[in-house]
Amino acid sequence: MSTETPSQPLVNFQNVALRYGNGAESILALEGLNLSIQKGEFAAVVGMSGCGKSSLLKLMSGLVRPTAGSVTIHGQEVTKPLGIVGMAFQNPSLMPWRRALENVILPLEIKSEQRWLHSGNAREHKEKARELLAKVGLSGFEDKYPKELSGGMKQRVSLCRALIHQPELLLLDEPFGALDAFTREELWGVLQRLHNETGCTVVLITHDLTESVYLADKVHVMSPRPGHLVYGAEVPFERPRDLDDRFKASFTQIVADLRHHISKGPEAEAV
Amino acid sequence: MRSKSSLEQLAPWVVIVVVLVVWEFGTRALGLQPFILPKPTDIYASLLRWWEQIQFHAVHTLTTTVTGFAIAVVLGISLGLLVGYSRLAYHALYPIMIGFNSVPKVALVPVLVIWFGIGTVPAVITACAISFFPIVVNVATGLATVEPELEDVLRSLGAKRHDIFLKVGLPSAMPYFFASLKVSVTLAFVGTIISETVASNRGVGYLMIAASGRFDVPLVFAGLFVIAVMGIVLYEGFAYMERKLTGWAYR
Repeated sequence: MSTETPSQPLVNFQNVALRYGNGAESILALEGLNLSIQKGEFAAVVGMSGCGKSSLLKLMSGLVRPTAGSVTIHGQEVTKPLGIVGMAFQNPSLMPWRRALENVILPLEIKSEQRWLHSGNAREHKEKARELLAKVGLSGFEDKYPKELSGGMKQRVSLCRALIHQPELLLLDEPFGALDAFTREELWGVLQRLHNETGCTVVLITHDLTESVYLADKVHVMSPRPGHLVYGAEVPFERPRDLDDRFKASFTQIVADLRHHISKGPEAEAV
Repeated sequence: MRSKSSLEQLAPWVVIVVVLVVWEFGTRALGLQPFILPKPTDIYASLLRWWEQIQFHAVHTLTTTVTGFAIAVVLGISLGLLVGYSRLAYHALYPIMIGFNSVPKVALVPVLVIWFGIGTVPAVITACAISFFPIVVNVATGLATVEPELEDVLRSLGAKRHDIFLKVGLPSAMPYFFASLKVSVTLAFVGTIISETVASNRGVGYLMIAASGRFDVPLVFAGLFVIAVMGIVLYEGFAYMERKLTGWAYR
């Protein structure tokens, strides 16, 4: 990567547009979107549902290509899946026929199959998965099937699966959206710790403003379709952050500020 | 998996006994002749009396059914995989398969007899023809149930389409496949019996037609019972396999 300079962002969106489908029925999901994310940064993207937040992740992971503009990672145009990302969604989407540990290993299997090394380091994979599961508090649950795990536990397994191959870029699409408030707070802690330990770059899509401010270094607000970024707020609080930080005036001020920029969107356009 | 309570285990037997008792005393009370509706005891007597013949024909029906069913499984899996994997194959083949499935298989038997003569071959083909469709549909449906998020996870790691097919598609199709086997094997019996009643000189279907020609209705019913028992046994066998191999899919 000789093209890389210290100031160069890891991810860079330049004037990106994305259109799904052709002709009259096509949908313009994104337009004029600019975004840059530094290496090691924890970025959050908030916005109304259906504003194209998930499309953002698909572009970064190389699953879809922009209709216009450019998406670069390490200064290189993303033209296909790079294999450097880990993904987790609101739905843990585990494979029900595999035990927790075997679910976590999946990315390693896929990646090593491409290198024709599959069977050789199966034990190593398992050891790694065991360590990671322990980090999220799932020691002793390695051999449970997904149906035997609670929603929060499944989401922890899903997070482990997203991290097992040490991705440079962790993409999270409302990962805590379906959990109850207390489980969610617990998993915020888990995610914060994992981010701190691995130092990977995180992009978190959410519509929970408190979650975004609590976890992220920078929160981006996305407009309704066609999506583009309308506002960005830096979050200055020190890490590790404490759950009580949420009730500080400076914290709620940022949340209120973000909320203001979100609600401004659709009404302003409707008038 | 939760084990059945003793009441649940007992319930089917209780139902069977109650049906037989009501049947027995109902026919007695109404004074029905055995050639209209035989009593269970008449059927049992007939079963004992003709046991050797029944056994011979039952074994023949069973081997015919299992042969036809085995072919149906191979055919069903292949077509199911093809249709589930390729959208083009799906669009090309689905209408003709539905058309074929809509044809009453009894209408097929005379044609098969012209081609293959009276006997086992038409029965095997009929059993196969009637039982392969549910397998195709279930395998194809199972393959289509891959969660889009899981597919994204795999694709973002650089997995190719056949990786996803092997890692996710096939395993998630297994519960559907086994569920279809249970249903299909009982259908295969229907196919065999249809063909045997129309054109055969062997098998339970033939036995029943021959017996009804002599107004030996208790023997006809004995044949029905034997088929029912064989159907239940095979169904339970596949249900057992299903629980053992795809227990992860059930709560």
